[in-house]
Amino acid sequence: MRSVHRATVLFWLVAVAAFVFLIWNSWQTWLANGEPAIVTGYTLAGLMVFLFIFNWRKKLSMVPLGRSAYWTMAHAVFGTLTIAVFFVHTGSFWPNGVYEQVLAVFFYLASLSGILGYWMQRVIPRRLTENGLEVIWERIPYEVAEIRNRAEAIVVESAEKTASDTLPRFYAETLSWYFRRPRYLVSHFFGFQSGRAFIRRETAAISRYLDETERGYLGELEELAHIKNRLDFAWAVNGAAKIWLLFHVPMAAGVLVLMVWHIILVHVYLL
Amino acid sequence: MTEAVVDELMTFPIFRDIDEDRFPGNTPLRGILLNDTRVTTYQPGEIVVREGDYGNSAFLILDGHLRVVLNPNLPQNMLGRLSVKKKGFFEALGQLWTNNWRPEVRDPERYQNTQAASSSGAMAGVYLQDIPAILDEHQTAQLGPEMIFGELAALGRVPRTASIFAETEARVLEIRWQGLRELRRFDTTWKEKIDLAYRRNALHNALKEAPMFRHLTGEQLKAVEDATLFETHGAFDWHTSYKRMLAQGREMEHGTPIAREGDYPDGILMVRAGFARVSARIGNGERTLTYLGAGDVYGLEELYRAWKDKDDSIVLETSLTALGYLDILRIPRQVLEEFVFKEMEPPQTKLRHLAGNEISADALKEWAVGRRFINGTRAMLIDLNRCTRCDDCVRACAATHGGNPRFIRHGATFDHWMVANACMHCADPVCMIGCPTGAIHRSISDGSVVVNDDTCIGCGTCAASCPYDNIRLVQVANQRGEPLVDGEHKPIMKATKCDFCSSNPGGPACQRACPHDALRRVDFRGPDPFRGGYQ
Ligand code: SF4
Ligand code: SF4
Repeated sequence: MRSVHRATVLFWLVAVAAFVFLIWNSWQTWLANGEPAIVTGYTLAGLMVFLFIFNWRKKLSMVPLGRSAYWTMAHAVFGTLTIAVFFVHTGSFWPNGVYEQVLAVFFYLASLSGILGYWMQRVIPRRLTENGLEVIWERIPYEVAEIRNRAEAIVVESAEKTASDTLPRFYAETLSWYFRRPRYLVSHFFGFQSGRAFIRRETAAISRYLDETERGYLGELEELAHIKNRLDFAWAVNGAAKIWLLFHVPMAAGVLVLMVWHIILVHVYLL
Repeated sequence: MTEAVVDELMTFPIFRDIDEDRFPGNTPLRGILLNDTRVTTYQPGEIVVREGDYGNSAFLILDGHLRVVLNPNLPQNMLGRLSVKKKGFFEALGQLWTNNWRPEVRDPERYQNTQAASSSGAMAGVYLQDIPAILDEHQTAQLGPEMIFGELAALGRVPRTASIFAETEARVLEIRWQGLRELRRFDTTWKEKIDLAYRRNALHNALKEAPMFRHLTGEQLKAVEDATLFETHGAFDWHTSYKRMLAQGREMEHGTPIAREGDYPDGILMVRAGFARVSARIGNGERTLTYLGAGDVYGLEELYRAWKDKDDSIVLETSLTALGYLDILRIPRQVLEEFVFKEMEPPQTKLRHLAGNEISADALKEWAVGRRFINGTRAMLIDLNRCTRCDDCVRACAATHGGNPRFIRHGATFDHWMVANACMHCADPVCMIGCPTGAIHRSISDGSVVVNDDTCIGCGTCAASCPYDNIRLVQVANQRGEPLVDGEHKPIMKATKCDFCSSNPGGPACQRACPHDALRRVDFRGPDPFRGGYQ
């Protein structure tokens, strides 16, 4: 068993034990006519701060603060615990009070984006590997530009060699749109094959108007289009893995800020 | 080298007495001197070789005197090396605000003494200051005309064991390993000289350290030593053909054959330096069963069985080929039967049994051997089925190296594995051969291969030699981002690469930073790098 898996089992045991203890403690407080929401509220606040620290840990990679892989698993396990504690604390899916409802919206968005992120991190690596084209995400626009240049060179050469304008016209009307920038991003993200279908459909449409030599050039263009299709896939899928954080982190930060104000209000007006 | 200098060399007894007729027509003695040697004049105090350097040449003193430093060795800073000091927690944390957002910023003060690399890549010499003090504090010995040194490092691909500097002005003939090998092959005097030096300096220790000879008395060990032959196989500069093959989109061929399956075993082969591939025939090809590195032994099982069962028909069950450069000891059957087998437990490993594994199970191993990743002791292996391509590893690397990442998360891939372009801290670090200032060296604290930024002259020898493209030459700038230039107004370049975070607490930041447990630094010589645990 990998050491990270062992650590995850341990985190789950701690999380379950902490949850059971929290329920028991709240029950006892309630029996003693106390206010269990204080305990659950502060537990929730502590958990949220812990979850948010993960973001700082990433920025402090120069110092030994434990392997990030452990932090990720702890983040996932205690994130789940946080959702459970949130329900215990609020006692419902939808709290009363406008301020609390805004807080709940941020909390739900942070939680849902967290779950989505976790799922994407499990699925995306394998999908990218199976794409069979390893490319650094930031370099994809350059790679696309390079492919476009090569494609245009092929078209120019075909025009010079064959003295026919069919292929250049096809390029100008159809392919130049495709080669200009990454296309079919949503389709790629959801695993559909719109890009491939486009290439197949359009090349079949033009092929009947070409002679043997021109078909050779079309074959080269088709090959480049398929490489571009794989680059588009990497752009969409890898990009999604990068941008979900841009949603998750601000939502989590929002929860944190609203939570602090919530605690202040509770202390001023209710206690 | 010119014909006139060759004429002059031919007047020295060490060359004059050679029987030129023993050299084949395509490798004449004069041709070797012309192509594989050069004469250099060293000034007093100038360093000729540094302890710990990897070199591909031996030296013959023509006139003048040199001094070899025996004990203690010269301090690392005198040799232009880094003495790596680990940062404390807060010092490491301080990088958070000291890192510059501009790339490759350096303090210009550090480069006051930087010497420009000449167009040939050679440079003005590196000198020791205060020679009388060195002579006082260190035990040294004088080397005079006609003495040869450096032949073991050149032929055995091992680090130089001592530093040598010029005591007086001295003219020294540098002989490249190719020339040295030919001289040894075709002239008995050179062969005897080199073999004698080898026996005196290296063989005894190599045998004494091998577990199977530990029980031998001094006399018995001497008998084994006398009977042992040493051989070198494959090309010293295998990295050049390796790079050529990669550029052509091919994989490296599986090296120079040394022993063939079905041959009669006349002794065991013990690897002293380099790598060898053990293979067995399968269909019309050869299947890699395992690879051997320094200290590993080949042919022992068969020989032991032949002795135990008194069966002379037993033959080798596997083949052995040199992967790149290989330095081996051949220990004959007779001495093993006389001194070793009687006291020995039967050997455990049955290499041939590895051939029973599923064929596809070996694909990764074949890839690692073909791409020569087996050279890596701390290669960066990424499991692409876990890697989300988030680049936290790259950012962590940058955060620990002044804001500049020292690797590229890109590299050769096979199935769902990637060996990224990060220095692998090789067992055979070819990048270290020929560095004119010794700036690239093996750190004595943890064995990683590091570059001393202060003494690197940016000549690019290391980057051109690294077979894996893991060294980058960068142009350095001052705090304002203006390029730094040397006295001749040429931009100052520096070689940069992964230093395994040797000065940072907590080990390599890349591995620690990966949130998905996808990146590991692995020793390819370990049991199964694709499965193994963390270092
Ligand atoms: S720079 Fe290249 S040759 Fe040198 S140790 Fe690193 S990977 Fe090996
Ligand atoms: S940190 Fe891990 S997951 Fe992220 S790019 Fe590096 S190896 Fe891949």
